[in-house]
This record gives sequence, structure tokens and C-alpha cells, in this order.
Amino acid sequence: MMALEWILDGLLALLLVGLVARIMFTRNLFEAVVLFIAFGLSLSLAWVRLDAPDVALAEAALGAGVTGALFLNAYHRLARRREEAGMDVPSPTTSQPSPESRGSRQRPHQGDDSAPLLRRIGRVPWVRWGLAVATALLATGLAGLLLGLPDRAPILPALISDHLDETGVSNPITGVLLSFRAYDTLMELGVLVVAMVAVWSLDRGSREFARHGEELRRQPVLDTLAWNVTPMAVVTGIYLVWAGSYTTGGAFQAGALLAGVGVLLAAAGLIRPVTSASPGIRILGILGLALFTAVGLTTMPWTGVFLAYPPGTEYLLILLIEVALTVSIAVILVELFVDVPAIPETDPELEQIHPTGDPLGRGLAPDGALIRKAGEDE
Amino acid sequence: MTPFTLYALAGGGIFLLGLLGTLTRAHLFWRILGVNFMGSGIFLILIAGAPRLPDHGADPVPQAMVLTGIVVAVSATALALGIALRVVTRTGAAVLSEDLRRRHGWGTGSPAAETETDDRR
Amino acid sequence: MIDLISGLCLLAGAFFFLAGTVGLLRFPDIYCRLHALTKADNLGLGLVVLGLILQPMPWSSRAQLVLTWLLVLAAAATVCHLLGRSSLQQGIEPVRGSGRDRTDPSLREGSEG
Repeated sequence: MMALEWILDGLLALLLVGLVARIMFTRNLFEAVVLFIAFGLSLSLAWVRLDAPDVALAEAALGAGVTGALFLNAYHRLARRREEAGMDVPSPTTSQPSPESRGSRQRPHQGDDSAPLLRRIGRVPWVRWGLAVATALLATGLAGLLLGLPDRAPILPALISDHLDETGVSNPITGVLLSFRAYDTLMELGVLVVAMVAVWSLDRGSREFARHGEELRRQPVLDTLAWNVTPMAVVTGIYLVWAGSYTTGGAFQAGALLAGVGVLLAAAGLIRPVTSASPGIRILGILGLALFTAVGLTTMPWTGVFLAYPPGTEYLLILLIEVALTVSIAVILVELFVDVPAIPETDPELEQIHPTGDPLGRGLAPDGALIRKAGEDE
Repeated sequence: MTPFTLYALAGGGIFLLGLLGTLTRAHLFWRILGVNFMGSGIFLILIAGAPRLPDHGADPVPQAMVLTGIVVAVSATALALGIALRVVTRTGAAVLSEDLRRRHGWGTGSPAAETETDDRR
Repeated sequence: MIDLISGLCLLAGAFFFLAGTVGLLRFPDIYCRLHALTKADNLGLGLVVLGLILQPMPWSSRAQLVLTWLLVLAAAATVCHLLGRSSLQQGIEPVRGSGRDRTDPSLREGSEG
């Protein structure tokens, strides 16, 4: 059976590398985005093969699902911006008016530049050769490193299984995440919060989603799916948080699943887009980080160290923290998806080219002060 | 050499392809994709390259790290895409203006612009 | 004996996946391709799940597998519907007729355009 394993793993590894090569060097942006989702799912298979089911869950939900949705969202906005701008936006590849000004919308946006850099570099042969040689050297070096890894016995797994009882949970990954390396998880929540705040500080897309939601409300099939799947997903998410202490599961996986469902709801137009001023979203987003820090600080009088759980309370504290983490992760990731900045339709530049009315009567002016004419600065 | 080393090598290859693409593609979306792949390659190396004994199962520490890494990668991608769309809003193209100007001299749009060099380099 | 049936089901499921992939690659327009893909999802996955259920495993795992199949059915049906609908709205016309029909006008279904 060893041969079968080799064949399976070899094919999967080839598939992964082949997908990445195709994605990075194709001209078609849509193809790249779709293949990226396929890559995420194949990578999830690889994680299963590598005995990492928790990572496989997170990769499928986040790496393939949410990231893919983000890319599709951004692609759609890019394509529509090009369509609206028509001939007057310089397209980096062609010198003619962008092809989408023709009638057909079958493939609104061909990938751009593809290799203008490479073509430019290519004109100077030594740069291209240098790049090839450097890559080959790096590749051989990396391969040599990986193949020459010393075959020593693993130390950490034994250590962890010896001390797992002290953490109050029996799933080693949860133990590592929330006990042995709790600082990492705390900082990661910090990263999430920073990302959320940073996305909010960009031009927000809530107007876009309000309009989008109205269009989509006329789709009964998607509505039905979202209505029926959401309760199941919520129950599964709760189960995952609970089960994380003794088997595959935990805050990240549950948060990933709930984020996926949230993206589905957002895409179906069933989530009323809230602006960042909504206190509810702010509280829920901060909840994980705040609770984690609070637990770490309030237990200090007993243990004398930040983020060490007093003996006997570990299980409860970890469960509490995990619930808060799940909520925060799900809320932040859905918020990141919903708030991908819209490219405002009433761009003052474009107003001269395509005067549009104000169809929704919003009367909102985009931040015209920030949008300067291209090429004006520098 | 176990079959898992194949995954580690694949991870190295993915990392390099991502790096190469990030450096050579001018389109911002492809750069974001490239950075994503660099991350995925490293994740593969971390988990597949972890030494293991038959009786002890998988090493949970790299798995925990990769779990954290995936979440961080998602949020970084979201932010990066937001910034990229902002660039599109300001300049009309998903390419940084310095990469664009060197080629076309900003929007002259003639086929000859493909071959002319910009001496403002 | 059970193993034999299980193996046959798995092979049959794999065959349907292969057929779906070939359809995805070879069919002329998106509507035909969606048609091929649903075969892979419904029948292919269904047969694979059937083959797996026949293996010795706790009943909860069997229930989980069947539930997975049902969820995939629901998701695939929704996605197919959305894809077909958005293709129609974008104005993608289904390819009509086959190569043979083009040489024999009497075989054409309906009118052109």
C-alpha cells in the first residue's frame, strides 16, 4: 500500500504546484481567482493527508471560502469600474479602448499586465537570466534543505502530551493555542482587530451592499439556501467550540465556519449592512481581545503571571475565552468581507464622462477631496 | 523519505512561485495572490516538514501556528484588497502608477508606447 | 461481498466524476456544463457516499456522510441556479443544435435567434 500512498501524495503535490504556477502566470484575472479557490480546497485535502484536520477545516472555510469570496468581490468591483469608465481609463495592456466597451459582457475583465514587467525586464537579457539563475539556486537550496532535514525524534509532541493534563483540555491543538502559546492567539486577535479598523478607515462599502442587497432579495433560491443552512451551521459552530476541548474543533474552526455562513448571508442580501458606527459590531469585534486580556489580567493576583490560568479553573476559562474568540473571529471576518471598499459610482472624474443621476436619491458626495485626478500628484 | 516530504517540497515550490509572481507581476491582485501563496508554501513546509514518529501522531505546535497564520493571512488579504481597490479608485488601474508610467508615459495609449523607454526612470 | 458492492459503488462514483469533468471540458456552453456538473455532484457523490456507508463504521458517521451529501446537493443546486440565471441575464445564448444539424436544416429545432 505504500506505493498507493506515494502516488496519491505525489499527484496531490503536483496538483498544488501546478495550480499555483497556472494562477501566477495566467493573463486572465477571473481564471486566477477561480483557480485560487480550487487551490484552497486542494490544500485542504493535503492538510487531511498530513493529519491536520483542524487546519483542513480552517483552510477550507477561510483560505478557500472567505479569501475566495474576498477576491471575487474585489474582482467584480474592478470589472464594473472598468466597464463604467469605458474607454477613458488607461488599460495597462492594450492601447485600444478596453474590450468591455463592446457589447458582450461575457468576460468583462481580462487580466491586465500579465507580464509587462517581465516583457520590459526581458528586453534586458541579463536581468532575465539573473532572475532565472537566482530562482534555480533558491529552489535547489530549498529542496536540499528540506530533503536534508535531520531525522531526529520529535521533542515537542511528547512534551505536550505529558503536560496536557495541566491545560484542562484533551485536544493538544486547543491546549497549544489557548494555554501553552496563548500569547500568540492573543496577538492574533489583535491583528484581526487592527485589520478591521484599517478596513473601516478606507472608503467603506456599506452603500454598495445596501444596493446589492436589494437586487439580490429577489432570488428565492439563494434565500432558501441561506435560511435553511444558517441554523445548521450555527449549531455546528456551537458544537465545534464545545468539542474543541476533546477532539477536532475549537474557536478558530467554529469562527471560520460561522464566518463562511456570514459571508453566505451577506451575499444573499440577508444581512442588513451596518456601518462601523454601530456599537454592536464594535463590541462584538473587540470582545475576543478584551475578554482574553481581561482574563489574563484578573488572574494575575492568583498566579502572578499574565495569562496563566489558576489551577482548577483552566477548563472553564478556556471555554469562556473560546466562545468570545469565536464570536469575534466570525464578526470581524464577515465585516472584512462586507466592507470591501466600493469604488464610488459618483466619482467626480467620471461625472464629466458619464454624467449619472443619483438613482437612489442618496445625495451623498464621495470624498471628492481625496480623489485627485490621476497623475496630478507626484 | 516519507511521502510527506513531497508536500514539504511542494510547499517550497509554491513559496518560490508566489515570490516570483509577486516580483514580476505588476497587477496588484496578482501580487496579493503571490503573497498568499508564499504564506501557503510556508504553512506546508511547517507542517509537512515537522518530524514525526509513528506512535506519536502529528506535531500540534506547527498546526496551531498554521491555524493562526491562516486567519492572519485572511485579514491581511482583506486589507490588501481594500487598499488595492483604493488605488483603482485613485488611478483607474490596478497597477501602481510607477509601474504604469514607465511603460506608457501615462495613458498615451499608442502601440509605440509599448517599446519606448521612459527616461524618467 | 459487502466489500465488493462497496468497491463497485466507489468506482461508479468515480466514473461519474470523470464524466462530469469531461463534460466540463468538452461541452460548448455554460448550460451544458452545468448539466454535466450536476451529474458529478448528485450521482457521483451519492455513489461514493453509498460505497463508504457500506464499510464498517459507527452509525453516527454514516449519518454524517449522508448529511454531507444532502448539503452538497443543496449547495450545488443553488449555485447551478445562480450561475444559469446570471448567465441568462448577461445574455449568454445557449448553443443550439449540433454539427449535424447545421448541414440539414430540417433537423433544427425551433427557429434561429
